[in-house]
Amino acid sequence: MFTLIWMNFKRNKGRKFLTLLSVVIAFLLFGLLMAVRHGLTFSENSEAGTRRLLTMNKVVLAAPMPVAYAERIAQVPGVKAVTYFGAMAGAYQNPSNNFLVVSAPAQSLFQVYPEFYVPTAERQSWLKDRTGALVTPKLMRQFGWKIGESVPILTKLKQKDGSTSWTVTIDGVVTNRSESNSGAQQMFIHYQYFDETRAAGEGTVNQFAELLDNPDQAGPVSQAIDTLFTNASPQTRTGPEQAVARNIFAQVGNIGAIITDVAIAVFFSMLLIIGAILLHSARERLSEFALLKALGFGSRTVTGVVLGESLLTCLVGGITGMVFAWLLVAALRQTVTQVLPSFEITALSIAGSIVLMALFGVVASLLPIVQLGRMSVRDALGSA
Amino acid sequence: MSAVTIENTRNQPLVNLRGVTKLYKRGAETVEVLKRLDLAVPRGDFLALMGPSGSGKTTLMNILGGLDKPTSGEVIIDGQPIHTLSDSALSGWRARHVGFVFQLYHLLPVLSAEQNVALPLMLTHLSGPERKKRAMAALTLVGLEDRAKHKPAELSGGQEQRVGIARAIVTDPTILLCDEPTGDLDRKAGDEILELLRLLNKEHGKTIIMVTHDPHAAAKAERTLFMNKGVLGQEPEA
Repeated sequence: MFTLIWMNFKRNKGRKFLTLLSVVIAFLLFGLLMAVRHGLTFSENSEAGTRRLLTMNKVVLAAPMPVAYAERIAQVPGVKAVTYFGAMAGAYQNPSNNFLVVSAPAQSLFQVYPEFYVPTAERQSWLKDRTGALVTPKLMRQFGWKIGESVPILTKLKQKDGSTSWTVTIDGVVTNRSESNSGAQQMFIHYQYFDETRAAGEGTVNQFAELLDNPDQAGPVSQAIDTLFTNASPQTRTGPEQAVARNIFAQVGNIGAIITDVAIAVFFSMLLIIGAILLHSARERLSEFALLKALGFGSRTVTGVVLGESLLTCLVGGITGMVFAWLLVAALRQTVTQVLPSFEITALSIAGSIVLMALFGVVASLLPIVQLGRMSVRDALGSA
Repeated sequence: MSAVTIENTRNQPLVNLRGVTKLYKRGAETVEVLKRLDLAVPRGDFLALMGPSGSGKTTLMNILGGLDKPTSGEVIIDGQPIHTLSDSALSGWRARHVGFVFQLYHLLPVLSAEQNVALPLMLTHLSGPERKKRAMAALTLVGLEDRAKHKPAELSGGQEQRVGIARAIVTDPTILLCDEPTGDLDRKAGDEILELLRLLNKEHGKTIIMVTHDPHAAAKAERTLFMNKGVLGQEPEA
């Protein structure tokens, strides 16, 4: 029977290629969606997720909050250190060369983010330089900057003198020791310089980051911080880094539900396509199936040929799609690591995909099998 | 032929039809395609069935081959009342006892000639090499051993029908049922096929029942019966 399945699988190569392509794309999307989903729902209880908390505006996550909140947050039991960020979008020479400019108080930045590494000399240089900047290695390479070089950064944030071009001096390169090959494009400047220079929004920040004494206390400490500002304006929303990333997505909508809906739509479309192709193919070959029955092959064998062909199509296309998805996820991982720290295709997703391949193989073959069940052998073979 | 062993016990009734009636429903109308038909075909016979379209020839062939069941009456082949068998039992019976030769050959286009011939042997317990050996023996008998690896699209109509015949005899069936075996061939190729069938009958004792419109083809058979409006007769209807 496998010979028949295999020989039929290989026939009509153009149609088979297009069928397989649709399955490949469906499972490529499935793999990517599952990786995003895993990235968003990654356990908040892992150490990486709970070692640090982020506090943002409860109503609009990126909206400003008073910098004075930092002192009150630092008093919360369980908080080891607090830092804060004021952020703006920057670009070099050309608006398309864009990156994130993050302003932060230097000392607390390194306390809360101990994985940030800057060579001692460069670090000392930055600490002394009011308009100094640290940049990530990728940014340094991309623009070919040199240490000590003074560069103009194009922004949309006006300075007090009306200019939107911020001049900074490249004092050093900051690397993240927890990421072997970070793709981040960021520039760090001093919060004081940022705050004193900008035309509006003085004394506000976009985000607080807290380092915890005990990772297990993430829940109670988050609650305690938010309770501090229950009667303040604005109120805050505190959570582990990954949860905050997820909340950012959640502002767009229920991302889990969107992913599930997209996956269902993709697979339903795929099911219709494969089902229609198999039905058409079976109809074309009615006389061949009738012949098998005339020769004495039972309905089970004929069903097996159709089912086997459908399963083979879904498995070959599905596995190829998942391999492409895996390669794509591996290539994108470094790029999205800050938003989706656990952007990966898990063993569970792979197992789920194989179950789905088998399921769709079976479901797609049902209609042709029913059609063959109703087939009259004598009619299908033609009459004299 | 070495692998395809042929029985050669002649003059024993092999096919017995008693009072076979077949009714078909066409909408509200019931059509009596076969009318209380009796037929006895001795072992080793080569019988041609002639008759106009719609006379019931193919229905009779389908009943003889276990592809259809009579509405009433008995169909006994080689002592086996096949009208009593279930569909799955009939499938098994067909595999063991019937070789079909079709007008349109019905070869699977994705399989080579050898694989097409070996197809019915997949229902046996024979090993792969043994199936191949038998398929080659059958192809040799029909003179196509050098075309074993060719796909049907690479063969002429006559060659395709020879492959069809090789497939029909490869299991050494009790009876060969040929439905217009030369209907799609030119005269020369048709004559070669008829000669092959005659050889299988005369030299190897195969019992053959052949439906044909062609008097020239019927003339190659040992005897001819005429079917008209569901009734069998010795002479064509005037």
